[in-house]
Amino acid sequence: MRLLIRYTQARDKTLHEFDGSVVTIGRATDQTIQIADNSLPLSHSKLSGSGDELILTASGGQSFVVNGQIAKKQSLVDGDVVEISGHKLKILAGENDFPHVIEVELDSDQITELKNRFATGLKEINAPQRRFTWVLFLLLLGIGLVIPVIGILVGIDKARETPLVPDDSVWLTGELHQTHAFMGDDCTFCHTKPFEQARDEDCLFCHLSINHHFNTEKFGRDYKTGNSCGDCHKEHSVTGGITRTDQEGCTVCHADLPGSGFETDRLRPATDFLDDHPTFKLSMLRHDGGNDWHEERIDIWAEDLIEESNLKFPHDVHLDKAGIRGTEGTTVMECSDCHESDKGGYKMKTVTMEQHCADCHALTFDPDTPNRVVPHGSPPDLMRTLREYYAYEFLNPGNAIKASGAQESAKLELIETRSLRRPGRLRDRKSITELMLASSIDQSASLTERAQSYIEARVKDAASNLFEKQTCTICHEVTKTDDTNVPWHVKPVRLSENWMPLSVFKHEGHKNMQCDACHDAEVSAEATDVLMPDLASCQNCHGGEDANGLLQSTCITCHEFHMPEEGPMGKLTEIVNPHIGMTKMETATLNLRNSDSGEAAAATKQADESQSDKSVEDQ
Amino acid sequence: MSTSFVSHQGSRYFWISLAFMIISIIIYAWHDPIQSPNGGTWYGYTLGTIGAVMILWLLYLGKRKRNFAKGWGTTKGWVSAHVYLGSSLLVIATLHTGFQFGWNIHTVAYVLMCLVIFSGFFGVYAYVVYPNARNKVKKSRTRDDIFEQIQGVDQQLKKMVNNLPGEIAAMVNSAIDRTEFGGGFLDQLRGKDKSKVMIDGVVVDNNNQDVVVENLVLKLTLATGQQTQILAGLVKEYGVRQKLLAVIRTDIRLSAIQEIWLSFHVPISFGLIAALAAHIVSVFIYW
Repeated sequence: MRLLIRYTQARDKTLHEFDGSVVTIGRATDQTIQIADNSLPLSHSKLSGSGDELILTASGGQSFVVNGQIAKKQSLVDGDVVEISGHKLKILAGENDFPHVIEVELDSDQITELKNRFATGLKEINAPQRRFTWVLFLLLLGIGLVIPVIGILVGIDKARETPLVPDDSVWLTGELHQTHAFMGDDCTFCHTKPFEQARDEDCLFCHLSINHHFNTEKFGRDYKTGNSCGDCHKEHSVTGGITRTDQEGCTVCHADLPGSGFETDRLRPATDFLDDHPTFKLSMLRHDGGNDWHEERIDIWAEDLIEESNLKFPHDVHLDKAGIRGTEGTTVMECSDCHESDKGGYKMKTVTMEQHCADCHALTFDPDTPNRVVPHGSPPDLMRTLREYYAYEFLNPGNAIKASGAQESAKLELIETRSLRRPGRLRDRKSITELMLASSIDQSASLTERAQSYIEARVKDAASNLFEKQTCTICHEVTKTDDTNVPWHVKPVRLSENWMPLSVFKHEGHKNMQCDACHDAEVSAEATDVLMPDLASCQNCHGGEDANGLLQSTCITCHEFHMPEEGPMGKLTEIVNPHIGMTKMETATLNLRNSDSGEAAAATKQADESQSDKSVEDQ
Repeated sequence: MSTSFVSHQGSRYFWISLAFMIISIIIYAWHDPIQSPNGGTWYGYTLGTIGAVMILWLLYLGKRKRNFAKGWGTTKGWVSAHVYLGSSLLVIATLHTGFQFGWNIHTVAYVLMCLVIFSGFFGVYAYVVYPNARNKVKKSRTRDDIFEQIQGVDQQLKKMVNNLPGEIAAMVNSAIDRTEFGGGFLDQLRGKDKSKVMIDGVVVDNNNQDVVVENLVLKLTLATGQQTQILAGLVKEYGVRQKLLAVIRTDIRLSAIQEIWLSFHVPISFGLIAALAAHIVSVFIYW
């Protein structure tokens, strides 16, 4: 398509020779016929055709006027006048080899002044700012507020079934403690009432058995502090831990217990471990006679501080660096040979004769059978064993050794026996027959009488050796009595197990230390010595809350808040409501199980059903 | 010398904000919450309340600036307070968080607030730097002055081309008609010349008006006699037009950059309001 385009306004009647397929008409500067009128679209219409034919087509939604008639698409012939918003395009007969001339007559009143043709500031254009504002505002309000609130109103579980509803974790103000993390997507687990802080009841649903610190009957439940879980425990702040550790929580009352209404001689005021802490008191066992003992609290510095264990035990001898002679030669003993910490390291395991002493302190009674021992702990049993042994020996002269077992005799050969006389014994043991002949036993008496005489003589000999001379008396306080069966009395022994019951001490946490750093055992010669460390000993390493250069230790480093002897934290009537309590607990367990396996949850459900069946039957 | 909002009334709000921030930090260091600092301690609630009220007040500037002369105080004073007190929110809100962040609506609110403040910082920079730069480019003329100059040049050019062959006249006239500047969002920011020119019936790009100038110079080298003089004048005059248009485009570009931060600052501010509302309500629903 070839055309001549002539602009009438131009003084030169500018002519453009066009040779192409389409003449574009519009406001944009790249249009073939540009009409700089801001009321027109960038691209208004297109003129196309081949040879003589001319077709004008308006862009979508646009139209033009041809000879007074509105049209959207029109075939044009010479003489037609097209009007576009007052601007005229005249189709004229061709000139100079061009089939047509298009004369463009722009309406100069409508032509936009150059400086106004384009937006020159951001404010003039329809910036996406306003839309962006609304989208952002509504999106955040929706996800952050509206949807979760609707969820609460409609029932959060129902609402959460739809993928649109974000779970509560978008509202989590801080990470939950590891043990609580599983409830992180459902705030209502703990926050049961909107606009109310999590209540004790909400904690106690799960922590049902936790005990109080003080007697609530005496002090009530609104006493100073420590009445509510929230007084000491704060969630959503893992960096700070879940339990408050400061001293102030305790010193509110413990700085002045009588002033706080707690009259006691058991506790003394304390505000800081280094600066203001009472010296230690120890719970000492006192022997009341027989098998009765009572506990007495005694200051660690008291002069009458002795342990009444009724045991004889020199630590110094046992811990001699040169060693101590035992059955297997000289052994250098260590504290841990007898003192082991219990599981968890809170207490030491009880020291027992059988486990810790018997290796060296064997309860042997007859040099001929050095592997035969009497039982420990019960003098009547001991006497019975002796009688049985010598009765057997009487009936099987010379076979006693044999009777004790071939294994033992084999072992015997390994032991180097010295032919020394033991105190109270003859150097050369005589045979039973010799002995019987030599003794004052009446050979004419009946066999029973002779046996009795023999056994009694031998038992008396062995027992007095055991009780008075060689064995029992080494460790025990033994006195003679008139008892015909057991003519000795051994004072009962009891070792203190809990010296400081008001504090929690873990040997586990101190295992890198040497025992003698706290316990002066190497120089202790008597079992009555108390080897517990005093306050100053602890203060070598531990200081108070703000201590410098020492381990900063607060009250709960050593003391517990929840006292086993006090009642439960919750108001029982409300909390131990089996229905509410159990439902809540079961929900928790179920949730936990669900995350592991569906089977467990199904099993629980089944159990519940069978239980409800049962209750129906009961009715 | 007149003072800007930066040094308004001896930087009164700068000193107020500075004192405010320092006091907040001192109290933060002094206050010793039982557990770690967070929004839920007495100081956390205090800072949170102050911060929320400040955010609402800072938003009010958007309305206040539209009534330039009305109301309490001057708009310059308001802007000065807006800038300095808004900056202090960075400290106030950060202390309010207790430096605890997570993937939650609360941290979203904090991050949006930071984005608003930082975009505001750019805004301050823009308002301090760009008006000066634009004035330098325009040599203290207004944009209208320059457009008038261009109009004068255009008339001159049209007059001059009358005595030249039709194809040169057509080219120059079409270059004048098809001149572009400004335009859409990105066009303004980039300041690229999208002008066109029709040469021999074909529309071609006329970036920086170079095509026209090159063509005129080419014609000039081939010209003889009187035409040489006219063409030389034409090239010179078109060079003037070229420079004036470049000034216009630079001014548009700088002014777009000067304003662009608001397209970010304002929407994010409203996003912040939504997140803040969600933050406050959710914290108290599940207290």
